[in-house]
Amino acid sequence: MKTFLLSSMYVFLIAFVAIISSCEKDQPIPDPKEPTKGTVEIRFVPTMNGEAFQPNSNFTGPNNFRMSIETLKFYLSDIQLSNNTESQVLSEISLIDLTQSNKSISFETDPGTFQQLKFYLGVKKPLNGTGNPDFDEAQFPINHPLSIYNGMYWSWATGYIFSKIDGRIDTSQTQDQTPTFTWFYHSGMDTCYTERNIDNLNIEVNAGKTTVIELGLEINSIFINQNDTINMLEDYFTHTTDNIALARKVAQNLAAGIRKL
Amino acid sequence: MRMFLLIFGFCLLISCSKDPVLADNKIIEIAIPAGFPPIPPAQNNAFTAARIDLGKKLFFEKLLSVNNSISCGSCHFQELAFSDPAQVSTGVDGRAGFRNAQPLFNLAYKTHFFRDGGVKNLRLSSLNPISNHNEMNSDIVGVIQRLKNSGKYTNDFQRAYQDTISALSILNALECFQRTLISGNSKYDQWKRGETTLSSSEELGRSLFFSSRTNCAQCHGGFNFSFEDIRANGLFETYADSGRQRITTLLEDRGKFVVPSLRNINVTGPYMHNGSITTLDEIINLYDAGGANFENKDSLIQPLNLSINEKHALIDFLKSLTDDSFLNNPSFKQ
Repeated sequence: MKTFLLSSMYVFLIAFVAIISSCEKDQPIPDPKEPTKGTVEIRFVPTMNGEAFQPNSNFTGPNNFRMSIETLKFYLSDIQLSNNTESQVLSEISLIDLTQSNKSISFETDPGTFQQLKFYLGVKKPLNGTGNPDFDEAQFPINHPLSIYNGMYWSWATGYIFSKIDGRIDTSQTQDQTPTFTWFYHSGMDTCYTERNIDNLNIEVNAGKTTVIELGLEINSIFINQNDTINMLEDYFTHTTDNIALARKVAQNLAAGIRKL
Repeated sequence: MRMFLLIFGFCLLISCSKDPVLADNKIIEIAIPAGFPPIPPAQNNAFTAARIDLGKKLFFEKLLSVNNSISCGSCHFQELAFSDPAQVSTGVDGRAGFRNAQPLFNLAYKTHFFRDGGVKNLRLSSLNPISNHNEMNSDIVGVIQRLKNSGKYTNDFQRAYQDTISALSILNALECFQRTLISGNSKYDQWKRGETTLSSSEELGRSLFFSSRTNCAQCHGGFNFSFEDIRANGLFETYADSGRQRITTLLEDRGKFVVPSLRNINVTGPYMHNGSITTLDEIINLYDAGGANFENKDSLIQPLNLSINEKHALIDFLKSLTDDSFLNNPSFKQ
């Protein structure tokens, strides 16, 4: 009898352990979800007289001056796609640096068909800190478009440089073809905040897929528009407030020069 | 058991030893002169000994400039209330500055910085001399690299901000040190506290200064002898420097500048935005004449018809605003 009881107890214990261990929660089997978002990549393709843009290399600019570009950076605010019924903001603020090798920005968005791309060249007022004493530009982390590491914050005035274009030009009498004289166009402040609409986009964004929008920028269009050509002998610099007309013209030319390829 | 007690006692002893990091990072208060309002708090940058110490080191650090040739202290001399005796300061490679360097004191109370008031807080104001082509001609990325390469600062930043050498920590440290530059112990302050007496000439100057006859205190009033308004004093008929207009682009702001504090004025010459006036006599004469005929000139600037005695009295009063204890404070020395 005693042996039977002992055996029964062992059986019970084994069964109990088996039951307990069988109650352990199963590891969930990954259930791949269908992606609900698509990716939109905006790729900038800058050219110089039709050739691929190379920073720091010499090219023939307006009025046949030999020149080079060392810095070409600008902010885009409220990049958005729209169709007849809706619009989707892809990014509140992005910094484009055409002197870097990577000239693309990517965003996730809902699928759809879109006819228009819209953005503003510059930093929109709520992010520009001009009207808000508590807005602290020093707090942005290093990889944020508004980080002061990017060299786009104006140290002498509250606010950001919307577009920063620097380079060298040969304005010498001898025209020895060696650009040494520095020129710079730093456009900013609300007066240079410029809207740009690109119609006839006709893109389809599909879930789980990447749609590429290629935007071209012919560098010469920054200096030359339908109406006139910037005289770089006289107008070789602006911090905006010291030559508002020039800063505005550069901003408008730059925005208008961005076209869908 | 005995061994256990020994180990326990040893651990207790270690835990009781003073932690220099914690002691350095204790939030401290800065003494405020009588009659001064409380110092407005800095955003996420309370005073600690480690931060002030780091900020002072950076203030006198030439690695902030592109070629390691100048520091903040190269143009801001403590014995001159952190002003520069030059009309405009000399930057890297001998480059001449744009405007006269301003003295640095009581910055913790200011709400806008530089002559045109273009920068809204002290923390960001340090970016200007660092990046200005005529001053340090650098950028914050270059500064970080040079500080890292020097190998001198890693522990200091860790102690002060528990951070590596970063833009935010550099600006915070410089802000923290500059916020300690409080000046409020001049002869005039001592007189207000009943600790000394003014001479008869200083007393005459004081009464003139605060009178409606001169209206000096309408702009240079308050505990810091400036309300920080932005006004045109009629220095010129036409201004080469657009002043506040550079920031706002408005014509009505042409020739306007932030009204400076008059504390320590006897040692902060040359004066005005361009350092074009070298003596206090010239300043008094400018205002006595009612300034130049300039369209944006403030309506408060009117001919005063002061006697020679009254002019001298005003100058004597202005000299009584010198705070020798600030000019010689060993805490601010390099």
